[in-house]
Parts: sequence; C-alpha cells; structure tokens
Amino acid sequence: MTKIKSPADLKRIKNEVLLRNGLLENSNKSEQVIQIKVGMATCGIASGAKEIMKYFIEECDQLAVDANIKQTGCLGYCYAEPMVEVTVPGAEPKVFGYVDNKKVQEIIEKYIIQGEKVEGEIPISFRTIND
Amino acid sequence: MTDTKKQLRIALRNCGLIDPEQIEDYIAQDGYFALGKCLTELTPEIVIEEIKSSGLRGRGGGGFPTGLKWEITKNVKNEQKYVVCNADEGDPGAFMDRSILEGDPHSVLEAMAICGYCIGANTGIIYIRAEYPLAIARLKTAIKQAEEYGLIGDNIFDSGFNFKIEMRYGAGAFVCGEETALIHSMEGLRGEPTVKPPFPSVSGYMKKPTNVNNVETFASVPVIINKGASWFNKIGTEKSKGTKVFALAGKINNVGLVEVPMGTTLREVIYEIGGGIMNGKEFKSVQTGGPSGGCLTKDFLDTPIDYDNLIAAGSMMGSGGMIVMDEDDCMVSIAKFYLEFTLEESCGKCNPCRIGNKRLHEILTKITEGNGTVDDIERLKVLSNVIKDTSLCGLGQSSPNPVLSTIANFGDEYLAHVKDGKCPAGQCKSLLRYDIVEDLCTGCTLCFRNCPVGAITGERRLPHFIDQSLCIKCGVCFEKCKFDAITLT
Amino acid sequence: MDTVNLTIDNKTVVVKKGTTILEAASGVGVHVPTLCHMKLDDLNIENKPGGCRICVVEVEGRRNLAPACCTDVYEGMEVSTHSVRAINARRTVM
Repeated sequence: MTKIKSPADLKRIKNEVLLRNGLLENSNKSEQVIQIKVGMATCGIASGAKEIMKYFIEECDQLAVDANIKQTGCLGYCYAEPMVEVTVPGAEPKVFGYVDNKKVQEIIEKYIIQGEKVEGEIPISFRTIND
Repeated sequence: MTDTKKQLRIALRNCGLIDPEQIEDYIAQDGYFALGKCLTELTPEIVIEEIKSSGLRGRGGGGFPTGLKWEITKNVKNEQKYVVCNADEGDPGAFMDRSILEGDPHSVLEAMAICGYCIGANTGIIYIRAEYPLAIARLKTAIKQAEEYGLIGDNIFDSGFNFKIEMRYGAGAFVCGEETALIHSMEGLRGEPTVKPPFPSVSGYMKKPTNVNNVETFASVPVIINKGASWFNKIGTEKSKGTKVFALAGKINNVGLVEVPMGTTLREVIYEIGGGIMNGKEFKSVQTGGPSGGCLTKDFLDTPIDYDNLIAAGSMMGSGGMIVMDEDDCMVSIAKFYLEFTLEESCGKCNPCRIGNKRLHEILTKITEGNGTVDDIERLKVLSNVIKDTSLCGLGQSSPNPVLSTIANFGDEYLAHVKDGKCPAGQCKSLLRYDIVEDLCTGCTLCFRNCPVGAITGERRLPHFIDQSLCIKCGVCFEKCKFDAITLT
Repeated sequence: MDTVNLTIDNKTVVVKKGTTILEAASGVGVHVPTLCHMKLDDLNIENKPGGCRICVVEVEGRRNLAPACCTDVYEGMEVSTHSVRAINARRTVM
C-alpha cells in the first residue's frame, strides 16, 4: 500500500471515497447505489445484528437490489437495537430500529423498491459537527 | 438546526456513520487531517496552546484541563516518554469508551499521535480491558491499517516524527482506571495506586513521564485541531467546554448513549432525549458519576450539567454514567448496591477503603434488614467523611459519595427504615409484611398450595393465615390471590 | 541545596527539599504516629506504602488529609498534625 506522506495524499483518498459513495457534486448520479449500514458494536451484535446483516445480503441478492451493505459502530439508540440506516440515492438517510427478518423484507420491498413509508423509523436527534 | 435536536456529537461524530474497519471511511470524514496539519504546519507549542484555549477537560471524571496536562508532560525533560490511553472503563452502566473504540477507533489513534508529537513521546499504549474483545479486535485492525498507510510508524508525513502504538490488556479491575494503578498494571505489577505526587506526568510508566488520557478526551482532540479552539470553546458553559457523552440507563424509555453540550439540564437529557420514565412512573432520582457519584433529586433537574455544578450538587461527572431511578427504587438499597461494587473493587491497599467500606456496607445491610437505629445514620455520616478524608486514591475518596448523597437527599427514607421499620419503596424484603384479610379470604387454598415454604395454613373454605416466622416474603401468594385478600405493608 | 519553609502546628520549619512531613515534624519535636511506615537506618531500608493512613495530617488548602510519611513538603505549606479532624480520622482508621 502506498504510504501517505502529505495532507494532499489524505485529500486524495477522501475524494476517492466520497466519489465512490456518490457524495461529491461531480460524482455520477446514475452510478450511486443504495447504502445500508448495520449497527455492529457489541450491543448490536448481541441483539442479533449479524443475522440481520446476513439476511440483508441474502434478500438483496434474491431481489436483485444493488446495495452497498456494510457494518458501522453504535448510533447510541441502544433501546432499539438492532438497527440499520438506509440511504437511498437522493433521499435523506433513514434509521430503522427493532429490525428483525420480517422488517428487513419490509424495508427492502416497501421502502427501497417502492419508496413507501415503513413504520419503525427512528428520528435522528442529534446535530453533527458539520451543522 | 432545530430545537428538537438537543444532542451534539463530537466524540461520537463518526460512530454509526463509518465502517470502523475501513481506514478510508475515516479519512473521508476528515480523519488524520488533524495529525497532518499538526505535523506539517504547527509546532507542539501551538498545538498545546490550541488545546488549552479550547478548554477541553479530562472526560474520565476528574476534569483536569487536558492542555495543561500535555504541557506539564512536555516540560519534563526525558528522552523516553509515553502516551497512554485509558480505556479501562469500569463504571457500572457506562459504555461510551467501548462505543467510541468500536465505532471510531482511528480517532483515538490519531489523537494519541498528536499528543505524542506535542509532548515528545514516540510510543503510545492503549490500556484496554480484556472484556471488550470487539473493541480490541477493531483497534488491532485500525492500528494495522494506519501502519500500512504510514500514519503510524516512522517518519510520519515526512516530518521525522515516529510514533508507534501498542496495546495492553487489563483484567477489568475498576481501580485500574486510576492513573497510578493503571500504570502499575501495565508494568505487570499489582493494580494498586500509589501516592501522588509524583504524578504520571513526571514519573509514570517505567518511571518515564507519561501522559494518561481517557478515550473520550482523545476522541475530541482531532475535532479541536480541525475546527479550531474558538469553535470548540463556544460550546458548553464557562468552565466546562465542549460536549459530554452520557450513558443513559435505568428506568428510562430511551436507554442509550447521548452526547450533549455541557450546560444541558438533566431534565432535557432525561425527558426530551431519554423519553421520560418507563411506564409513566414518577421520577425519583438520577445517579451520575457511577460508584463515585451521588444521587440527585428532582430539585436538581434544572441544573445545567457541567463538572462544577455536579460537584456543587453533591455528585460528580465521573465517566458519564447516568442511571435514572423511579418511585419503586429504595435509596438505601441503591447506596448498598454501589458499596457492594466498591467493596468488591477496592484493592485493599489502604485501611479506610478496605475496612471502612466494609463497615459502611454492614451498617447499610443492618438498616435494610430492619435492624438499624437512628444512631446508625449518624455513624454512616461520620465514617463516610473519614473514608473520604483519609483514603489513598480516588476510589476510596469517592466511594462513600452514594451514601452521603442519599442521606442528604433522601434522609426520610433512611428514617423510615430505622424508625418505622418500613421501606417506602417496598424493596427491602425484610421490612415487608404480607397479611391475609380474613373477611376477604374465601379459603380457596390457592395461596396455601403455592407457598414455597409452607408458611400458610388454614382449612378449606375458612380464612387462611401466614406464619410470619416462616414467610420469606417472596410475594407469590400476593400475586396468586384472586380476591385481593392479601395485603402488603 | 534547596530549602523549603513551612509551618507545622504553627512552628516555623526550614528543611531540605524532598523531605516528608513526618521527617520535618520529628525535626521540631512534633510526634506523628505511624504504623505501616518502616525505617531501618542501619540496614538503609525505608518502606512507606502509605497504606495504613494512621499518620494523616491536615494540610491547609488540601481537600483531604495527607499521609505524613509519604507527602513531601512544599514552600509555604501549613500543616496541623493534631487538629480535631486529623485526630478523629486517625481514631476511626485505627
């Protein structure tokens, strides 16, 4: 792996990632994919996040949904674990709590494919450092 | 920015956003930019000045100004210095450090490298409890990735600065969160504190100057460098800047981690973010600061949270556990619970903590069993104050806090236990009494058949009786009775 | 050699830097009781774990009591070895 030797190298990597995730102005909108993040800290895993993630991957495969499914840390809503964040291109990220296999299907079939509202959404109650 | 968003995430900024096992994700969130800026543009003096003017204080509980600590360690002359990250999180109910390490390990690595650059250390050590296997695994991955990119290692950013990070595992002793005990444990010795001074800044790990900071403190550092001290010190109150992560637990609807600016009131945290008390019950008390903190009543709900206000209210910030209690919780039992914890965790080196806490616990047990006297309350106070006065380390000096604060804030409850022999919350089993109301009892024998100890006697279709000397107050009869014929007093 | 000025029970004392309160006190004839402190001059052994807390004294401006055997003196320190607070604490600790 090439070593990072200057802040410019860092910026280059940052841009590559942002470009890949379709978060830059000039990134190709048609190439953007759905982002699914599963909360996988100890707390999430304990309440079954690993199974949920596996199920998401299987279901997305089966329904031919092109999604980038990855793990992330803890969002802090421990009462609602396991939880997933779904970002459909062009829409605000949505966080769903108390996710089980039935919910996964509902999220994929209703929210992702048909764009309908799905119950169990958790409002984001915090500001980030960039606000 | 709406008013409904009370939280502001600085230390938790990337938790739940990035994949903790992908360094590129962290870099995409401006990760390692702060380290790059420090190494290529700023001198250690400027960085320390920046941290100092940001007003960042230690998030582990003590609240010592971080910049000042770095400066002290920097000014000690020695060729070998160490940066230690204290990830020995032990407060019951607190898990913010684990969340940060599992969700954003790189932020801690970056800040340790910045600290190393400032104080002149080339080695960083993370002391983490072995009970956090996932955090350990993710940290290892993170260290490996950072090394591959050359963000940790030799000649970082071509600046000539070398920094390596190692890990040490603790066995989960609470006392090892204390700096000197932590260092002894790292050296392979018994995790016992020693007298300060000398502070670790002067003589720490392997007798070398060592800067020890908490995970959350480190996690805040890169943001301060990136956004500037003037951005950071606009957040919070006059003497406590920035944000603090709290672990909300207990009888609250939305259990979880919250990060709020200093100066947010307890009411906002508990009712607006936490969603109020479970099952619509009445709020009774909130315990902050773990076993070293105190229990605050509803009179303190509108107190803005910061280091000094909490201490003035008789509690402390601690590492940020916040346990909410409702009307069903007995404060004497709560104090007893915390003492059981300190008793277990006391290292036993100094007398007041080892024996004093044992005695406190005995008196509290006596009270909860209904054998307490009014004098016992006075005895608790005297003994507590002596333990605070004479103990060697922070653990002992703060261990009686739950007792003192519950006596000060819930004195009536202690009096009810010792004078009337009653536990107002109905928690202390020895003080309960189950009776059968003769007029209501139909003699159905249901209670008789369910009593596990055979304390209930009576003929079919005639009123039954409970033999109080045999009753173990399990409450089965109370639950089973279909005619509400059993009373609980 | 650097010296330090302090008062112990209102007596002014001048001692070398790095002296403990216990040593400074014995120099002016103030007796502070000890238990776990062990000093064997002949063998050149000194052990002061600071564990027994019998030797605690009150130091002006300090939040808690200080163990005399392993607390170094500093300039302007005001020590009371037999204040009510210190004696009560010692008695309870005992």
